[in-house]
Amino acid sequence: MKRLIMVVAVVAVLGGLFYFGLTRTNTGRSDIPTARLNQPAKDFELPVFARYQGDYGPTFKLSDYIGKQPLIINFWASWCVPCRTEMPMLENASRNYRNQVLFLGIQYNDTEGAGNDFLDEFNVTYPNVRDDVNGRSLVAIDYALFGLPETFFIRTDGTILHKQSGAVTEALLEQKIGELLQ
Amino acid sequence: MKTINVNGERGTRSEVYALCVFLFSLFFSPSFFLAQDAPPPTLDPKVFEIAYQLRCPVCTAQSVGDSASPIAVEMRNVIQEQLGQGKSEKEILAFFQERYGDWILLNPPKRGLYLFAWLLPLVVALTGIGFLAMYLRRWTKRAKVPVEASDEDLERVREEMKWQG
Repeated sequence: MKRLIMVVAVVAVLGGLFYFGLTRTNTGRSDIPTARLNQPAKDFELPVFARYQGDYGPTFKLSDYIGKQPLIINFWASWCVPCRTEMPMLENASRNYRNQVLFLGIQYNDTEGAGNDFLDEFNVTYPNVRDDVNGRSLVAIDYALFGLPETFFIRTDGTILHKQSGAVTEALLEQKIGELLQ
Repeated sequence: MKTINVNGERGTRSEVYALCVFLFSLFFSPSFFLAQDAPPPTLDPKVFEIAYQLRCPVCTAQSVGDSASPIAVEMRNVIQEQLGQGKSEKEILAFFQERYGDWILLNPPKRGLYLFAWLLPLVVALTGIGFLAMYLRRWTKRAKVPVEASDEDLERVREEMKWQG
């Protein structure tokens, strides 16, 4: 009897593991903790898309804007489907909080031409830059990018409040902007 | 000046054949296959030693050394640069760990909950050895217990042993 219980227990554990292995989905990037949470956002200086250069100059240096207002930094690419889904929400929120929160888009792993088409398509009014300095994309590594899109909510003091992996929702935007403006 | 005649044509054709044979043999030569695993000549092999210890952030079950994704390529370039700056392997791994957290390391650090991953195989192996030792002791004990046998039985055993030589 004792032996039977032991065998059943072992089979149950192995069966459970087997079931877990079969049914689990691909690694969800959102469940990976962000090492940089509550740490200062890494500074960068990136080339600005021509259409925003009148207001922001040829390059955007993050440290020039820290301490003035909270920032929302969104990494995107024109080929990324969830980026297309969330872009109208980001644009809408940037208009609603124009003087309170600075939105910044960072185009990653994409071409400038495709980026311009994307910005035209969604009529994006907030500044957008390219993570491409002489063919290098180092900001993506500094911000520990797992995929696209990713959005960083940065407090006025420059520390990271939240990192969203995957598309944002209106509810999340409202909630996090509320926290940023507290 | 090259003249085109029958011999010349033959010569040209044989050159093409020779080239084909050369390319064919090159394809099947061991060095061709070995070259597939060798790092590109522009990067130091040490770069790959470190890159194989890092998880590719945008891939499934691939290291930075194995992946061809743009971010993995960029990470290898960063490793190369940092090696050039004289940074140690530990410092370079710490650079990525600071950004991505422990998740980026394919070998979990030997501390905290991660110790479980390192110690579990040892515990399982020791438990297995313990069980084996216990059963072996039981079997040898059983073998030492004298078995009562009649003269008739002993005779049968002797007969059997004779048959088996």
